[in-house]
Amino acid sequence: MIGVIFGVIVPYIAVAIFVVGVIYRFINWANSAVPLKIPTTGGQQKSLPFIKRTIYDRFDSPYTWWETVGRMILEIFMFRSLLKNTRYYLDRVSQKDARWLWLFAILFHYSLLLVLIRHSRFFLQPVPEFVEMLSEIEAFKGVFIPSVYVSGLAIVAGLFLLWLRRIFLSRERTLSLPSDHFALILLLAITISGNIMRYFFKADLEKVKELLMNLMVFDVGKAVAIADSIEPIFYVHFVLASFLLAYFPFSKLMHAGGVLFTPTRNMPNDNRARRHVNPWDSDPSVPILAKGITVGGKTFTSKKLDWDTYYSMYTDQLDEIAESDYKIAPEEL
Amino acid sequence: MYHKQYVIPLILIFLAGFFTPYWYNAMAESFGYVPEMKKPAGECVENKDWMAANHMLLLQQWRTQAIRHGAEGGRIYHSSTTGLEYHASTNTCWECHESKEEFCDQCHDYVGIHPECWDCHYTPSIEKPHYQGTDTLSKFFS
Repeated sequence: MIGVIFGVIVPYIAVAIFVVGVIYRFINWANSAVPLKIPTTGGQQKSLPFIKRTIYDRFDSPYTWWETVGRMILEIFMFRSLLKNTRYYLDRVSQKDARWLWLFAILFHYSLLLVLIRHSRFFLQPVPEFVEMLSEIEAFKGVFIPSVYVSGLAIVAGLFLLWLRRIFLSRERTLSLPSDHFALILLLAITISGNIMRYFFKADLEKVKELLMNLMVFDVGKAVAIADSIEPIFYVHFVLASFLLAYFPFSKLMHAGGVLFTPTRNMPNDNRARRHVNPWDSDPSVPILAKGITVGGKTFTSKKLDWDTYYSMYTDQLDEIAESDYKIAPEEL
Repeated sequence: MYHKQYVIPLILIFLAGFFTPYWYNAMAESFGYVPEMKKPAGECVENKDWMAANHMLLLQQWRTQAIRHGAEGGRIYHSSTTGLEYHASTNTCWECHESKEEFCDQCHDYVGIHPECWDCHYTPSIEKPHYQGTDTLSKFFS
């Protein structure tokens, strides 16, 4: 009975939620307008011809489509933006570099990639040559019996480091929400249960692959028959992984797809050369002032931006500042 | 929807990536493939289902018995299932399992595992050099 619930029903529901959820999130993001051009830049913008740009400027402040693609690829594979927040990570007093997040994130994500590639052997028949080779290389085949997969241990280490960082560093502890901890604990539970299954309480992998192959062709009858004969430790791993799949699209883990939709990353910094049209603008050919700008409840219109209109828009605010003798007091809450 | 030229290919790539097993298995024509093992003649030393998951631990234990205690007669294995005594050696396995290809390799290939034990150790299907003159020997000694 447990096998039928956790081995057949839960994974079907989880995969359906994952696929529909991810596509829903993609379309939801794609439907969101980006009214302003907001690339974050860390380099010299393309400007007058005598202002030189180095290769770093081209990727930090991209101008062309290819430079933007280069920045996205470096962001996806190198996580460069995690190295950029030096105001946060460089301690001004002790001059210590505390950019642990980048190191731990690289450790975790690349281990996860290797682990996912290795798991493809339960879904692909015949098992691709490169999957077997990759497994044998990372296990240093023949050194340990059974083979110890380095990525399987590194992913646990990486997750623990990421989690301990949230627990022991005071600023990160303050910033952390329950969902941040939950995602890490869930991933830790999956990876640790996987390692336990691999090294201590063995499960019959041939049955596992048989179950998955039958699930894939919707042969529910056979899958149910097999599901009941697999060891319980497998279901600990399998159900937690199913929960992760179902949780994925609606959590912060969706940054895997969200990085592609980040306006601060995927927009070229060509604001001065090309006009960015606000998609909410009903008629971009008409200047915004001709349509009217509402400031403080009053709508101002003029054919083009002239000083008098601009001044009249903000006169009240300027008068208020003058009344307070040009001293700005903190807002009272 | 904005940027359709990027978002629609992205969704298609995501679907193609997530459903890799479908098009891969369709190309290999291996949907729902289940390996068929040759049923061995006798009873196994332990329970069949336990062996399916844990035979590597048993062989590891037998290896330790043979290496550490073999000379002192420590190669006797007491079965937890039947209570019978067995000689802790892979030759005990080969008495019933007559072919490595038709039994072991079926599942090992299925889950993409290649134990290096049989690079050196004896299996019934090993290709033994029969002396037929020096010309044929060159096949085994390069």
